[in-house]
Amino acid sequence: MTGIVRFLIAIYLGGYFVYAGAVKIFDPPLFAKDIANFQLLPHQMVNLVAIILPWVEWVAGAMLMTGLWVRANATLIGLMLVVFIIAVISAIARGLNIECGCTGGDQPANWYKVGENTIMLAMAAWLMYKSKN
Amino acid sequence: MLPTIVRILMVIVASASCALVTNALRWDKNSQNTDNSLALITPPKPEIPPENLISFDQARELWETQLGLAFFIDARTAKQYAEGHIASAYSLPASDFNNHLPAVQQVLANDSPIVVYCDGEQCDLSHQVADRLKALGYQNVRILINGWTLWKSAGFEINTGDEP
Repeated sequence: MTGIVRFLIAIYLGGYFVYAGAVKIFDPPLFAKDIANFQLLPHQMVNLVAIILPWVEWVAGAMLMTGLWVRANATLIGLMLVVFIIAVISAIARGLNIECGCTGGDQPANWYKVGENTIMLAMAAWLMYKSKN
Repeated sequence: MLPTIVRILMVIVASASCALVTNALRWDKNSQNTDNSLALITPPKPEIPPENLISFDQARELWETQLGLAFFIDARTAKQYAEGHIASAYSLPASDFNNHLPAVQQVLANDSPIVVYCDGEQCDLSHQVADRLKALGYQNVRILINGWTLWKSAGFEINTGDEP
């Protein structure tokens, strides 16, 4: 039973990151703009993050889906989610009315997004805890 | 067995390598845009003279009272424009300026009040388009910073598609 649940969670979480990564890989300037709107990073860092982060999301998601290095990739995805949650909360706290840039689409950085990310963080934590490798 | 932390670092390094190679190839194809392969966005102008800017309220008033005499210009990409833009705004993407210019020039007069916008506080596209319009002799060009987000979240009139 646990095995099936673990499989489904890995597919869901991995799939989400594969999708979110791919969308941003195809449009780095849009993602760079979304990151810049958070006003958290200096400009030189914005471009670098916009170029690299989507690939980390994609690779970690794909490896999670295929069951490779589940613990490492669940940890990595969990770490990214922690950063995303902090970024969105800080945007809300500063009253910024911006797109979250999460999946490249039209999603605002709001409490709903924080909730969604927290649920995914719980999934990642559970996978970390349950996986031997 | 590799420790988890080593595996994480390996995943990051592999991803970053893919990212940088892809990015280098991408910019090779578009090398006319910039010589800096990391240049996705340009830093904002350090200081924008206030007379070059228009406040959201002023822009709204202009839209309500002088539309037809005053013009709104969307500096984002044609794709973003088609997904949604301020109603009656014309598309003049900074990235494809020359191709879109003739259509826009048909409606603009040299002294038309022109409001250029893009999206986000840091967005530089409106500044680029405004500078080029001014260089072409349009005297009354102002920038509405973060225009699209402000307009959309205020619930004002928007359109989708390729037409204003």
